[in-house]
Amino acid sequence: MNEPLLQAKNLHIYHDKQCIFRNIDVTIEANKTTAFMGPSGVGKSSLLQVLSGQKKQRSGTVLHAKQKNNQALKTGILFQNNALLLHLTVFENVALPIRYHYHLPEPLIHELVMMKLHAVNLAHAGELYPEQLSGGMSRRAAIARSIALDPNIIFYDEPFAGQDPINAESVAKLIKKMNTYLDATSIIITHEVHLTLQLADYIYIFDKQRIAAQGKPKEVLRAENPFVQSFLSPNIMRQSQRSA
Amino acid sequence: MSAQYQEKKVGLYQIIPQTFVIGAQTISIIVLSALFVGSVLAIQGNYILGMFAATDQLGQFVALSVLRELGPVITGLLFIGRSGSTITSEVGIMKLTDQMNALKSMKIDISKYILYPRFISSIISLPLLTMLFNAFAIVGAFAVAHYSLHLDTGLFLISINRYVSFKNDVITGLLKTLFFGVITATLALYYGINTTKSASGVAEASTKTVVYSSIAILLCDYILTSMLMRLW
Repeated sequence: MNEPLLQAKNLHIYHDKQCIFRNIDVTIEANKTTAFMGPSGVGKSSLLQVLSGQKKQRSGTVLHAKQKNNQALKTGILFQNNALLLHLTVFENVALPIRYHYHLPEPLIHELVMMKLHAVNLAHAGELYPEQLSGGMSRRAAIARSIALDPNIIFYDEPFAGQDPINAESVAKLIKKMNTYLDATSIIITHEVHLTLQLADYIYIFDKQRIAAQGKPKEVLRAENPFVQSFLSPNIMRQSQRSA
Repeated sequence: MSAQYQEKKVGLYQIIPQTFVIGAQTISIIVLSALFVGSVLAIQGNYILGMFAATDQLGQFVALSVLRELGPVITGLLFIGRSGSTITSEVGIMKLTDQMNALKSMKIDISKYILYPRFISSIISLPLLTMLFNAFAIVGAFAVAHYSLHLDTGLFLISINRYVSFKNDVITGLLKTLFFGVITATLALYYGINTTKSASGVAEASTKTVVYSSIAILLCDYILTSMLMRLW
């Protein structure tokens, strides 16, 4: 087993006064893809917000492994609705975090941004504004921005939502590519069972404030928990039919 | 060059486009309104002063009304309607569409990137727009006095020159607009940041900005006028 990059213990997460998760443990291994699955409203996005530091947990601990040079982990987040800045072009959206955090000459910034845009096949769309992009292009632009600072860990909130099967497949390939090239760790929140089983190294399935099943894709598929079976089977059937 | 300097630079760069959106794009509304306000003042002034056979004082009447009160207040109200509501809706939409969370996730300081540039742009824009309003209102009044009322425009200009004080009339008016700019920007940003995540959230926030900023400006105008009249 690889060294954990992120470890959450005894987490209690609340949304306003409502308890979402009660006493759960989550371990994210370095350089792997971990998927969080479960029905809508179970609190997966809140868990992602806690792990990425956007939201505070009621109790429990979230430990981030330190990098070799003792610096904090760099994180990138892909938001469910992409959250591209509407007044900036795709190029400027990707350039913004680089400009903000580093003092680099303009030609170098241009080169760095074009590298990211090439990686997501958007090199031709740098001058377009978010409103001029299709759903798939927006998603890829948002992925390019989330990797702008070469993060160690990338959080993907519903990366396949609203994408047609071909786009969803290309987003899945892109996630895999980012892990390989950036040596990054990915955490994905999704309902897309078919793609997730191919993509993820480890899966957590949540139900009623707890973890219903966890393990490698094959282990999760063999889980005897009736909820897990009912969650996975119809989805696999439906998505296999859609792929066919 | 330090990262902190770089952060400041990225934030400062935002002031220029914001001043364009908040200030420059309001110019046409301000100029048009100023011409009409000046024209109406000339007609009303001519009627009132005519009762006392003092139409030669029309220039002074128009200039003092505009420079001391109408210019700052009407520009302030127009600014709220055009720019205050724009600030609130922009910031509100940024909140609703997770753009603010995206900035936070990139460790970009929202105050430096979103709030300060809009705040500073408002404070810069409002006095400049008021100067423009004042100038065009007087031009409008002058045009009506000359072409419609057929008054002696030489006397119109002489009365302005003789009775309008730069310090007491021009500066006091512009001083008020600094306060109006602070009030409008603060309320617009406050309601934008606190936009609720609902279908009508942005509309409600913009309405609140317009209503509360207008009341606050009129109240502030009363307080400042009372104070400045005593001091100067």
